[in-house]
Amino acid sequence: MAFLELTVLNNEPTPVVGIDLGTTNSLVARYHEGRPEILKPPGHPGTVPSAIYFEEGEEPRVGNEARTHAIAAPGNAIFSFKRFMGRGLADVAEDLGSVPFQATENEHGVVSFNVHGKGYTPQELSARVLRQVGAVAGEAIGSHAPLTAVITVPAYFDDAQRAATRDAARLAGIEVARIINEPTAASLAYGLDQKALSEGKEGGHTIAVYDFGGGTFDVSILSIEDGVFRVLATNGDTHLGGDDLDRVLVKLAISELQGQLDAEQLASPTVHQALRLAAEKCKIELTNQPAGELHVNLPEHDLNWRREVTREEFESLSKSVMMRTLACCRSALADADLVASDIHEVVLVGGSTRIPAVRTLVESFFGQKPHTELNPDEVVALGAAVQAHVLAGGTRDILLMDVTPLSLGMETMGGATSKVILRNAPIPCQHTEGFTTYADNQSGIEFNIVQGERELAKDCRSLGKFKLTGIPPMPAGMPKVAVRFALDANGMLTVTAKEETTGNRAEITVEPMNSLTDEQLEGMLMESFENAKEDFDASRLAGLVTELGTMLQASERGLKVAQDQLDPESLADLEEAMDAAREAQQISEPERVKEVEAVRDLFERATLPLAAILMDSVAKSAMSGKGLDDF
Amino acid sequence: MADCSHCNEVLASPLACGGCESIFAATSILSPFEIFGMPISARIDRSLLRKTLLKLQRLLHPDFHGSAGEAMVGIAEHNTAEVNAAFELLRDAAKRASWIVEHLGGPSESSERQMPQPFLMEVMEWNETMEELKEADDADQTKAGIDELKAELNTQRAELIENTLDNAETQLNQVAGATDLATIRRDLNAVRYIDRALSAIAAIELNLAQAH
Repeated sequence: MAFLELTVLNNEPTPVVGIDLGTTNSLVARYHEGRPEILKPPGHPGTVPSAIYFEEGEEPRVGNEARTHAIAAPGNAIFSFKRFMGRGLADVAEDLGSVPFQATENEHGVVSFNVHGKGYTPQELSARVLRQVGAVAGEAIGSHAPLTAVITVPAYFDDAQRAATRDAARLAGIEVARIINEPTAASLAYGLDQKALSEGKEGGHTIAVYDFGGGTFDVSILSIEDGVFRVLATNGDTHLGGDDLDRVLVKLAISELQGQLDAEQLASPTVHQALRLAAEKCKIELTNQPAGELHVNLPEHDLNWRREVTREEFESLSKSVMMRTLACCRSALADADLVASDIHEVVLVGGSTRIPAVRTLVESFFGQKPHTELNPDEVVALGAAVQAHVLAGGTRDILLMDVTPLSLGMETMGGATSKVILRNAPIPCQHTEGFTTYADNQSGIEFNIVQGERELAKDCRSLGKFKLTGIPPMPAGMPKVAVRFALDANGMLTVTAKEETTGNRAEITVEPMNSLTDEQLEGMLMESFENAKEDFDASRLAGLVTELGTMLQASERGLKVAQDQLDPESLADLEEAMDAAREAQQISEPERVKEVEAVRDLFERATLPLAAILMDSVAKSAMSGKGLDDF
Repeated sequence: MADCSHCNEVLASPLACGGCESIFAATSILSPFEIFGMPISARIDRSLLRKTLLKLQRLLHPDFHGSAGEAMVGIAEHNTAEVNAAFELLRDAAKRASWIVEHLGGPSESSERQMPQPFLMEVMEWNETMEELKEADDADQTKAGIDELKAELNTQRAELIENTLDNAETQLNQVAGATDLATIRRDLNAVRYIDRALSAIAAIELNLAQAH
């Protein structure tokens, strides 16, 4: 409305937020008034559990709602689907046991869960969570504009896993400003650059971030100097997290329930899911008290089982899982050319670092008390919001220089790996490697792009194969084929190849295995378009109705003071428009959004004469000390 | 170094101007030393190198050019990658010396394969020691053996690097009677043998730590 524009900026830039898409929970944060804050709409915890609940014939339920339903009917829910992102069936065989739905794999190696006759990829499941995260953000900041976001991933995520995350965001209608690594984000949240500045150590302030989350473990070693956060080395395991600690308790329960449930019952996904939820609850109890209880209640199997677990017992059962995290820490330190005592500060991230035994372990390994001031569940999202602020042009005081976690290379003759970019190389980076033919008149070369540290290509992850064809007949060894690897700031790879002797440029970009192709993504977008449009219209309508309310109030107030100064024709127009607005406020069908929009536009025009008079009186009363708010 | 085409400030690097914060697409292939705005030299001030890296990345990094359009982001990304690669080379004494040898027209890593017989005998001895250490049962003894071998290799490496840097520097300054480039290359190849042995030892150490 014309006179409201004095105080409300209409052209607010699209907000850039930070999203932590977690294995167990997801969160969104933004940078506001000089610091990052978690977005929590009134009466909402802000957290969106990464859970989906399916009821036949109904729309899947997401987040808190899904969790609540899953407790009563564990056989209808999927959790921890981040573990399946960018993976093939063979990679995740162990995790499939906890999913109560049949899984298949398409020709590109993308897993899909068959739920009541409809397929869902991990990307689509994550997109549903992201959509809800987006709604939480929209509600908290009162804007329904499409979101732009920095999204975090475990540092040890490979190319396919990063691609899957990016695709999930696209499906959710979120523009990805950048994909950043979770431990690096956490270091930003703590504002350690200020501390580094005040201590001014030669060679920088060295930080270790120990990130033990729901499903993944990462450790990153950083140096902070002159406001630049430079990652020196990173290591981790994308298959090591709090879920593994739950599993330790699930195993305990299974071994003790042998007499009460038969093998078939124990293997059923429903029972498994119930055991998993009981284990998680017990683990959380153990964090706060010296003992916890494993309680499994399955009336349909005539089972109501309780078992006390002490901290000591839990710690001895989970020792091997915890020791695996230290192995990663040792490798990361070695790669950074440092020893544990060189580290100036240690930061703890992820829900699993709440476990007292984990804290003790980290403290004794690094020989110092780690930072725990920030909520370990929130620190990643907060850091992502800081990076979002940087990317939105908000500050140049902070710069993040990250590395690639895994070496990239190609399979050579004989099945060995030839590394082109080494792990812990700073990104963005690019490298060109020359290749040639091994047979006379060979017209094509096949490349297998691999990621990993193993000597043999078959032991590394194949990101994709491609063939460069059209090489003109030449003796072996004559053609010069340049293969260029480029990693962008997201840590995502593009490979191109060209034959140089003849100037015959054949460029190919590899589409990673276990990833959605552009066509599949397009198809999914089209499919979700109908729903998305309805969601969008509904939120647009809600926004318009609120706006009409505000406009009506303002007009009524304005008329009270200035009605007599308004010419009769303008007054009639305005009153007519106000009546129409009151009627439009009652509309609730999303498909009538255009109609309401037209009413709003007409109303806005009708208020102009009144606004002009009010502006005039504002100017006059400004001189007599009255403000706009006094009307 | 040339002046900035936008503000006439002397350029710190051909890729960016510290004065007006403009960034430039490289018009020719730049050497790592040019990118860092340093004279070619075997010995480098590590602190200055690191500070220059941070300064250049602050000017070039794509994070700061998001609003300048796709073409600028492309240049920023390309330049950042160039700076990263140059830094990785310059910070490493062996890689730096190797670059200088080739720059002066000396043999490349792969073209000078001959190593002196006594050195190769030494390499075989290290390998035998490592095999024995891998099989050993007594953890303390293994650790002592590893530390001893590591110390020996590190001392030898440090000496070779010092020699190489001195020799490369005299070659650069065209001092009469300077050690020939092929010898410097052989010393650098010896460093590679030592590095391979050191990373094999590191693997044994990690395995040991993991077992405990």
